[in-house]
Amino acid sequence: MQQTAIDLSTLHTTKIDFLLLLVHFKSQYG
Amino acid sequence: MNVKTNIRLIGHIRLFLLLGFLLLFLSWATFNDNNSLHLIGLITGSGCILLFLSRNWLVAWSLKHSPHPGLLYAVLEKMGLTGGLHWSLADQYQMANRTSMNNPTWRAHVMEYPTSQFLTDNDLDTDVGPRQARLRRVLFMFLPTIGFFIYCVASDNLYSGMEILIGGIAVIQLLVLSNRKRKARNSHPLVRFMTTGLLYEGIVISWESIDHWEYIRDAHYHGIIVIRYYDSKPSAARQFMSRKQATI
Repeated sequence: MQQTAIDLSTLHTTKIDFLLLLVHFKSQYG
Repeated sequence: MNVKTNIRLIGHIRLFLLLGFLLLFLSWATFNDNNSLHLIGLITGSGCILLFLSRNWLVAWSLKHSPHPGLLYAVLEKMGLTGGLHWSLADQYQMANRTSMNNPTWRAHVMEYPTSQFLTDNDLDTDVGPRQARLRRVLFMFLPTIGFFIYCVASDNLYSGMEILIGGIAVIQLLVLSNRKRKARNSHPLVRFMTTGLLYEGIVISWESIDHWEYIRDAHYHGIIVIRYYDSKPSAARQFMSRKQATI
């Protein structure tokens, strides 16, 4: 098992946007 | 109400508590026999505080009436906003998420929400660029400009031309804000959501290999997403980028 950490403070996004995208793409294509 | 707006409302519920106390304070401060303003402040302030106190009910109501409850619950859970839910309700949505790929009903429900529709509904972009510090600065200047513009309009000094000047500056700032936001999203993305996987730091992590993720805050209160995935030989980004069907 590997892990990666994405610092949201360096990205032009919000935690809600990012989590929404993660959940949707994982449920659709995972 | 789309899913993102719903989550925003629940996520910022503490602001209603703050607003409620502020209105109650203003109501108390403006109290006199000839002024009915304090009554409006009292009712509105109490309403805001009641809304905050019934936040668990708001979450349950949203889940019941949302067209995409699974998506809503999964994000709220990661943000730690489902702790007050009744165990049976939480269990119902957790089970739906865990068995998502094996449950035909749930699978059909997810497939009913195509990605293009999801992105449009919630105003999301699959390319995430670097944070723009200048955007914050322009936004920081935009709000006082609007405030000053309202002050100029409300004052008696109508023929000075100051209103037109300040209004023009506000419009220019608004154009810069909207343009810069779009540019920042589309140019030099650091993260890209693709059908094949998540592109980050030149590596594509396939959705199948991702086990789970957590949202945490570090010592400086910066939000961090920790993604744990199985080592399934992540391919180099170039291989995926060369395939046109990889991008949305």
